[in-house]
Amino acid sequence: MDLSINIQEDKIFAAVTGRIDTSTSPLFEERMQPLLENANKEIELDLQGLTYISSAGLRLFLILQKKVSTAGGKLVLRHMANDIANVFKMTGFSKIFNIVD
Amino acid sequence: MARKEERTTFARKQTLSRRLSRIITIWACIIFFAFSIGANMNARRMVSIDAEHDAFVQLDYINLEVNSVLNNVVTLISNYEPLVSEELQKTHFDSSTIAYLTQHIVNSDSNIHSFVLSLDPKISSSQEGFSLLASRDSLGRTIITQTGKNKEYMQTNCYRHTSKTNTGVWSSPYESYYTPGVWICSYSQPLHNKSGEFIGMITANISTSRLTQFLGHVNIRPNALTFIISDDGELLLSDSCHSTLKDSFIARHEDSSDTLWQSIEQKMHAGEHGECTLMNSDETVLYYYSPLSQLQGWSIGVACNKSEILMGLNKQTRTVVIFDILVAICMFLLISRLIKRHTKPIRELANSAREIAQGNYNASLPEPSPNSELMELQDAFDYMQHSLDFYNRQLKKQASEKQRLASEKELSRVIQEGMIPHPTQAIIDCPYTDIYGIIRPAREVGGDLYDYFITPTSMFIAIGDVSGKGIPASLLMTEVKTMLHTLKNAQLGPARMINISNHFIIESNRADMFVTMFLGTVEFSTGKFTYCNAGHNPPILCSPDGTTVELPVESNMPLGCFDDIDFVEQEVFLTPGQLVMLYTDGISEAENAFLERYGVPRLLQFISDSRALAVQHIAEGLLNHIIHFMTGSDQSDDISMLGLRYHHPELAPKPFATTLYMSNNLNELEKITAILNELQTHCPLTDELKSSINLALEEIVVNIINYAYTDTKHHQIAIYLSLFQNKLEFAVSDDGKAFDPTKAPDADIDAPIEDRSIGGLGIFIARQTMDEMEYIRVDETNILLMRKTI
Repeated sequence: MDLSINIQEDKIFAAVTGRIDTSTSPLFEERMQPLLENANKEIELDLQGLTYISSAGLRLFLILQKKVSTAGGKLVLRHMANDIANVFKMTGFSKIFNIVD
Repeated sequence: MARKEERTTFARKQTLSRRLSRIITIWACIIFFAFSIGANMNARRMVSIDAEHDAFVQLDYINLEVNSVLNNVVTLISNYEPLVSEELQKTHFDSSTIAYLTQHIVNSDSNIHSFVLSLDPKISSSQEGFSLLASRDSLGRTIITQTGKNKEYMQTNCYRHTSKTNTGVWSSPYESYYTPGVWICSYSQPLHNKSGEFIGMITANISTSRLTQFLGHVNIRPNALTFIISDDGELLLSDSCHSTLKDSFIARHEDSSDTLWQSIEQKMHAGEHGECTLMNSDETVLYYYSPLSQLQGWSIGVACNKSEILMGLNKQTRTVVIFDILVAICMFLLISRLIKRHTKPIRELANSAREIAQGNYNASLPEPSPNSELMELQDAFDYMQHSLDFYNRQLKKQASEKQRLASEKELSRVIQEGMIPHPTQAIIDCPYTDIYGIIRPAREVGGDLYDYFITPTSMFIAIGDVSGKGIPASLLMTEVKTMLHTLKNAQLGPARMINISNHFIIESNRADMFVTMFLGTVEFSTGKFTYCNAGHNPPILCSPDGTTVELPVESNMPLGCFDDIDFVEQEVFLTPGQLVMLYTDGISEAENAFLERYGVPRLLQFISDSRALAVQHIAEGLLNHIIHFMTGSDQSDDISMLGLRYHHPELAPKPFATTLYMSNNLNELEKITAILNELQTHCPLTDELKSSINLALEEIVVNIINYAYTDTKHHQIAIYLSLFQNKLEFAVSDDGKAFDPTKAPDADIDAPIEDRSIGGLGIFIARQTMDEMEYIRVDETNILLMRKTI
């Protein structure tokens, strides 16, 4: 799992690669702190390299989305793979998140 | 531990001899001291009596001495009086004659201090009377002074008192009129003429020091104080008195408030004879008193400190106490030594006993002692030593025998186990067959057996139960097993095999044992199941829809009973997915602690309930269920089962089964990915599907790891994976607390973001991914069954 974050003035570009499962989710939670701190801005999270996500990862996505919604920012998920999209769909997360191709 | 015991025993032994010596010494000391105290008290009494005796002897002596002085004076005066009277009755008496007589008297008794002759004026020529004074000068010479003036003298009490009496009288002590500072005591005698008229008086004075001179002569104790008390209470002490009692005694005498002393004085004054004890703050004084016989109302006494009387005795007592202590110490040492010497054989015996206790049965016993009791003890010891040695040898022999037997039994078990085909071997032998068997003997070895044999077109299965159990049963079982092994290659029908077996067993069976057996063959292409039963319990037939029944069988006779029996062969057609479970009566007749049997209905129910599982899991689950049922009672019979599920060979996919064991550690999750990758090589599994299955399994396992265990110990989680046809089946088992994931509430996927909970998604994802999910709790174990059609 790797998360790269590029903070611009009014927008943040982030990209995650690898797996977010039970064992890697603590690392993701730690790495995503800058995103939570800038939750009032527009965050674009690229999921092209994300190969696997478990409920532990979904939980962190939900935390981020809640924070962004409260702070008045915006979270956009890009380039989601099919199996990840299935999980999002299965869990109703696709209705909560702004997912674009 | 052994050392500690040794020390304790040693300490106890020490205490015994010490304690004996101590007890004896203490009692001896008590008796000794009691005697000493008694003797001391007696000595005190004797000393007191002695002191009293001494005191009165002394007082008697003084009395005698004083009497002799006084008597001398009285005698002299008595002799002098007629002479003087005669001279005086002459008309003109010659004063020189009187002076001569007077001088003679005074000279003849040195005790006489002075002498006075006083004549009444009526007979003297002078108006003023006549008086004559004889006294001594500093050299002791007698000086006679004649004077006519005696008017004053005649006025004295003494003179007047004497003039009225006829006999001589001793006066109380008083200070001398002529020699001031000298205390004297006078003896006065009246003078009468022939007609009896009083004409004058003669008085002899003696110094009181003449009386007290005897007081210091003899003393009962160096510091004793001897004293004289006159009739008027005057205290007379010896001039040479240096008694330490003197000051306190004089003070007491002068203290008119001392009633105790007053009472003594009264008694003395009354002429009593006795003893009295007076105490003041720091001393106890003993008084002994006795009257002076010559002087009316006078008394002599002796005072002595009680401590002084007992001084010698106290000194002696101290010496005796020191002596006693020395004797006690010597006695203790002597007794200790004696006891030690006499208990030496016991100590030696104790040492030998310790040596024997440590396993040295040949430890030497001490030399026989002439003491009869110890001799007896020694005999008993000797006997014990030999008995111990004997029993120990016996025990060792038995133990080694037991060990040999145990190792033989263990070896037999391994050999017998090796005769039974290993269940997983079947899967390798026939990839289209799901077959699994278990044997659990009641003892190391048993009489149960199962066997199978697979050909490309059919499969032969058999189960048997030799009557009895243990080694005899196992021997016959081995024979039957060998026979089956020979016969199965001959491709005979079940009934034929049974008949041949029967003959064979009857021929070789000398011990009247019998064998129940069920055997049959399944034809893969048609599902035809031909079977023959020889007195064995009917197998269970379970259909995929849950219908579970006993296979209809002719019971027939067991093998080995009668030679002329025709065993009936039967047949049924199995449909794909049907399960046939062969078992021995060790299952149906298993009893629990309440003597309740497991029974066929329970067996039917269990198989029906677990029919969705692979045969291996059904068999293992059934065994666990029975073991759990038997909790509290021992397994009384061998338990065996052989299960077979029929699959049509053309419809059956290439089966795959494996078991993944992992510990409750999140790092082990990677094993799931690995096993799914392996599965992918056996069947056409898309990456997408693999990923979702991986997700579901991981969510279930993470849930178990995070929430199932209340402790932090290591636990094992097992995932049984099997693939039949196009159905994947997963059974996840764990020994955590009971939890049914199928009952967990669904996540509300339509809820707005603010209402979505952060957790609880894992099980929901798994449930959504899998086609079917079933939960069973068996023997403290959670089993979650998940199926997915691919």
